Amino acid sequence: MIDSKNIDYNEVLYFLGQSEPFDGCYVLFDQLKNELFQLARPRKIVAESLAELKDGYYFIKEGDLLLKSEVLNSYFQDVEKILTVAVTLGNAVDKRIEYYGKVNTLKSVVLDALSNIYIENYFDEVEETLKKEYSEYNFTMRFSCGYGDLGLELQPKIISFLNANKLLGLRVNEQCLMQPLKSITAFIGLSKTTEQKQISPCEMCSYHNVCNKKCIKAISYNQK
Amino acid sequence: MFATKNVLKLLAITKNNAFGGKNMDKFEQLLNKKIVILDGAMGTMLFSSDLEIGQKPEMLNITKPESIVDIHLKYINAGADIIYTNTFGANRLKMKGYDYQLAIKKGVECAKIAVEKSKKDVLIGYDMGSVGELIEPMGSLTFDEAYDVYKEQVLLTKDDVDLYVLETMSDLYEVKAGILAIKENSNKPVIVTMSFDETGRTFAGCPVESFVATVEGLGVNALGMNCSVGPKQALNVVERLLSASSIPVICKPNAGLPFLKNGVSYYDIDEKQFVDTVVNFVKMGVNIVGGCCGTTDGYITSLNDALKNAKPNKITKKTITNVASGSRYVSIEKMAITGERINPTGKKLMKQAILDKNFSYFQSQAIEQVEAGAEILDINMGMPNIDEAYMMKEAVKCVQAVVDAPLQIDSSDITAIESGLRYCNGKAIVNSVNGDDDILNSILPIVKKYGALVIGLTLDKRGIPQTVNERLEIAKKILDRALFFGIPKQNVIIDCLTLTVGAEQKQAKNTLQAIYEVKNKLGLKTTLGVSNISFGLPQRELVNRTFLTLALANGLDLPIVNINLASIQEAIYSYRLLIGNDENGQNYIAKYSGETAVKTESATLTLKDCILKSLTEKGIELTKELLKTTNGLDIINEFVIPALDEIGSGYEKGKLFLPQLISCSEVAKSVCETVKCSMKAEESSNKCKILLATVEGDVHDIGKNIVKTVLQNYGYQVVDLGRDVECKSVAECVEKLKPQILGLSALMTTTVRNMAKTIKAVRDVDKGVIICVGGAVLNETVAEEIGADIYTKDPQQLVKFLQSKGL
Repeated sequence: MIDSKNIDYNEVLYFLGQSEPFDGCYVLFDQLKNELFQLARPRKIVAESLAELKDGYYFIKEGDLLLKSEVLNSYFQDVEKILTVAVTLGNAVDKRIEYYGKVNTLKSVVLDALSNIYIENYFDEVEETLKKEYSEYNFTMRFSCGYGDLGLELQPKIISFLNANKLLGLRVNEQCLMQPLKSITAFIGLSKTTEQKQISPCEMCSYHNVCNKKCIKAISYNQK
Repeated sequence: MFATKNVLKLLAITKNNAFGGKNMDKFEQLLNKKIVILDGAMGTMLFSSDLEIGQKPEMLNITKPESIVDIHLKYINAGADIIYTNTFGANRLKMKGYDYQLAIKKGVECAKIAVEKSKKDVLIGYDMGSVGELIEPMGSLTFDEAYDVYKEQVLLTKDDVDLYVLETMSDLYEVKAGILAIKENSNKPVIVTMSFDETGRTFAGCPVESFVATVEGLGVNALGMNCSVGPKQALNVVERLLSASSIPVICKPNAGLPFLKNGVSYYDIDEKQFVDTVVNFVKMGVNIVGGCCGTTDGYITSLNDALKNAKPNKITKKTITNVASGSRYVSIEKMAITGERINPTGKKLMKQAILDKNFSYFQSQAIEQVEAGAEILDINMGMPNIDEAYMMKEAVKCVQAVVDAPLQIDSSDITAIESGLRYCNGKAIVNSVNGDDDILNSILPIVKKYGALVIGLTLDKRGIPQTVNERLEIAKKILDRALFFGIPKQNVIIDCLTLTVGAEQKQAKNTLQAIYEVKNKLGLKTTLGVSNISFGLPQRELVNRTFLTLALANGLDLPIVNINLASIQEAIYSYRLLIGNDENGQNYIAKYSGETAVKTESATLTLKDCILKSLTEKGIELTKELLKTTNGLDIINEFVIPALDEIGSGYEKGKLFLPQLISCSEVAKSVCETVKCSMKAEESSNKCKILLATVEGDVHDIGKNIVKTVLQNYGYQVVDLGRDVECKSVAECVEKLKPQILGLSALMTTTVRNMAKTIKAVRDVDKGVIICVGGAVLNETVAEEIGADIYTKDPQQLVKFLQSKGL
């Protein structure tokens, strides 16, 4: 069973670009992890929709969401339903990262790394619960705006569809960035008939071949 | 008798603000008569009938008014005493491109038609949610802009509704803008509910107690919670609302937590569970109930049936002295420490910062004090020939952007006081009034309006009294006048005044005695600026610490001190330990155990070692020692820069990593700051000026902050414009400040566009500035495409580039 609070410090070190621990790092991680758990308010909202097709792309009618992405199509095989999910850690985490940015840059960077891992873990936990609820379905990988060729422009419509501003406090700015920053929205395809291909989001990135940080997510993903 | 014509006029205004007119009577009558039933969800009813995909619910007021009237009627028939108009998002920001003003008018009309049709005595609450954009500092909307969004709605509706409702709020600052907009533009009652999660905080981090302290002070008529969680999870929130509030509490929860399926929201609490839980809240003391998301007229009918014989709960007035910020609540029942450093008196650097409008200096002072243990921060901008009201507003805004300590507005200028109170997010303290009638009568109404606490100095036109009894008399006068203006007793704090012991030795004892008497005879909280006691004496810290300890022992509640001093911290930590305010001495032990060990271990280190080993405190200590014999610039050149070069080289070779680079830089930063404090302005760095910003639309600034820290340590003059900086602001600053280097950061592909725009805008005003760019989505090619001069992948590369240019 996934416990979102079980944060792997090796993953934190990867986020920090470290190959090995540095002096006092575990004490710092412990301290900031406790602070993170006190500040964070992980919350979620899930919407289940019938997967329709429009112009060759998946379409969620009630949210007017056209998932115009060839890459998504290649990973969503024979999908019957789509779950639209939003999760967030809340504003207080952002505020503290920003505060440390002015007081102690190292703490700011480490807290940022810890909260990135925590929000991903939390999403894993949510997904695990959903897999139990929809046990008769095969799940696709979760697919977010910004993966492959699925643009961030869809973000405001997702927030509106999920009523996530009211229920989770999420907002999107004109550049389609979400606030609080430690928030994720994603689509998960459900298919009764077809086993779905799973890869790390890192591998579908257009910078995959040139990026020197690709190992971080790919490694943690492949370890799951 | 002091009640002059002016005072009576002021009183009339104050009373009117607090109690409104006929509408207030109707609302108050309703509250006195019964448990008030509100309506249920509007959205849930609309989604189940008329709302089409992507449609704004408020547009139905225009396109299908009959549906809206029908929903109102269902709630009235279900037993609602107050219905909310369908105008939650009907404002100029949330309905850009729509005729929102018509939606507002029609929304009110629908409610009026429903009430008329029902022939029942139902009140209409004009409903407003958040404005739709984040207010500074989290977003870019100003407080005044948010105020205007609410004001516009109030002006359009004030003659047609019975009360105003602010609901599902998350940011306390936005709540304040809304309440002020309502109260300054109408005389209708106001009720406010925020959306708390099960831990008792809103999404923006506002705790229940901060909310209650602030909005009760602003004079709302009822307060409470709505939306967010179901009634079960709301128990903790309701308990806390009831234990903090002296006015009626509202509870309007969701029908549990939602799950969306094929466009329909399902909730996990049925009518019976909902009603049982809400009825229990009424038994606990809640006086106003209704439903939010997921509830329908069926829920309200059952709720009304269950509560038809319930009598209104009596409300106990709470007498706790407290202050609050948007995310922190501080009780003054067991002493709280006020930091005194944001004040130009006797502080050369602060004076210069005020003249230069150097807000980041205020921020660094605020952070330093809070890190040292200050729980409240005093802000004083009193200097000749400056616009004090403007500076107070900006200082309040910049300080509350970085720390969550509640604020104390310190001024004798009434416009500066009002400015500070208006822009302060939370419940503040005004420092100060005194026994002078003119001062009391002009400042106290402002204190009342903003729900602040007030410090009364025990002096008047005649000066500072010589005897304890005379000080007590002035304190009594201040209390009576505050009560007259409707300020509750617990919001009055008395300052018995510190006089310099070197000049008036006897008065030190009198001050201590006066503290004791004010506390015990008048039952008021006391404050005292401590440092003045030792003026002109040797070993000032020793005298200050001893006087502080004596004052605390006599009952001082709010010491105003330089908390950055170790001696003051020692006095406070040990005092709390001794009187039992520090349970099991936890805080004392955590702070002071291990001190000896650290001292012994670090006895042989050099300053360079301290930087390389990330030992901040030892580094500062050694710097102070070195400054006695060595010039500041020499310390930087001989110790700091060689250490940084060594770290930088290790980082480049892959022997050291980002965390070490940053933590060593942090120590170097503290060392540089210590050096800087000892230097005259002309002696400090002569290296080039660098402007840094994260571009418009991008809210990530960690990378930029790392670059800033490293550059500062190398002695560059860095001006950080922050994150999400508008293109034109960057260009304006380049034009004004003439930096040699502009560093721009962007993390997202969507914001690289804005980086290009910013570069273009900057080139239009200054062709010579060297533009460096960095960030996850950039590389040399992109940098060239968007017109930058150079891309650097990390701070070390940037430093090398600057050095190669001889900068």
